[in-house]
Amino acid sequence: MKAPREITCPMGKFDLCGQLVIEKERYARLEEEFQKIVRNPQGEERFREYFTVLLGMIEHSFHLYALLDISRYEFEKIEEVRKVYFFQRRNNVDFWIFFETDEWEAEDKVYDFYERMLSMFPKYDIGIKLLRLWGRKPEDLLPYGGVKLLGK
Amino acid sequence: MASNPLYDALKQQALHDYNLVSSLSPTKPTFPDWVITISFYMALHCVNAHAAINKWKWEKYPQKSPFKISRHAQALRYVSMKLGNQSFRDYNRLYQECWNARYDPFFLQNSHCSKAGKLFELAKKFIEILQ
Repeated sequence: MKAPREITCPMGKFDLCGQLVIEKERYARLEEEFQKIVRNPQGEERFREYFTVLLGMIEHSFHLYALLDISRYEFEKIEEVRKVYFFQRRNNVDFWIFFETDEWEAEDKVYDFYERMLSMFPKYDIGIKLLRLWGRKPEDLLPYGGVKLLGK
Repeated sequence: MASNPLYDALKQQALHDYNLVSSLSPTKPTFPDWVITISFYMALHCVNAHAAINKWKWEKYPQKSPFKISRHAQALRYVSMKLGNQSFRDYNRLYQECWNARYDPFFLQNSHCSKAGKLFELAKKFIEILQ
């Protein structure tokens, strides 16, 4: 199975090279609304600011959605990975990846994917932690606030 | 390579770490967790020194000068961009093992400690990038 070149999420589309792709119609509607607002002599500056913030938020959501979606897809392919949790705060995303034992060959696959991830998402500070369960549960090792991305 | 004070200081730190690990018998260590930890910091100082001599600036913060890597995520990105795939793997491995050695209480009980010598060998490769 090949990785999809493009991801569709509820808010629009996102390509895998890290570029935001707003669907044409959606973008045209937004642009039209924006023009209406900026032509309004009252308070246009305020609206312009809101609109810029809104676009930034949409872009951020797309990037994060794609980052998590691609990560889940890639981690699923690595048999030895038992569970993956992630933590996100603004542009910092940390993945905690749990293995049952220490197998360097399997870990190399994670490092290779991690390297690709860094180049695909330059705006994010992405960190990974590789942890060995050695019979323990991930929940015993996780700090507060982790969200499960993948569990086998 | 032309020299600069930051580079010289970081290189000295790396060599200092190298001497310390060598004195801990890394192939049959009594303190494998410390061999791993110091090996990682040796590599980290080498990467910092490499960034310093190349006057690399973190593109997100171009106003910061002279450049100094201040977060592990930045160091990893730097290694990925400038030192190639194999170095990225090695550096990552050192970073992960160091973290586990420091923070996972089960680490010493498991056989993984026997890999301390191998990890020191990986760290030594980073000394070579400074030559």
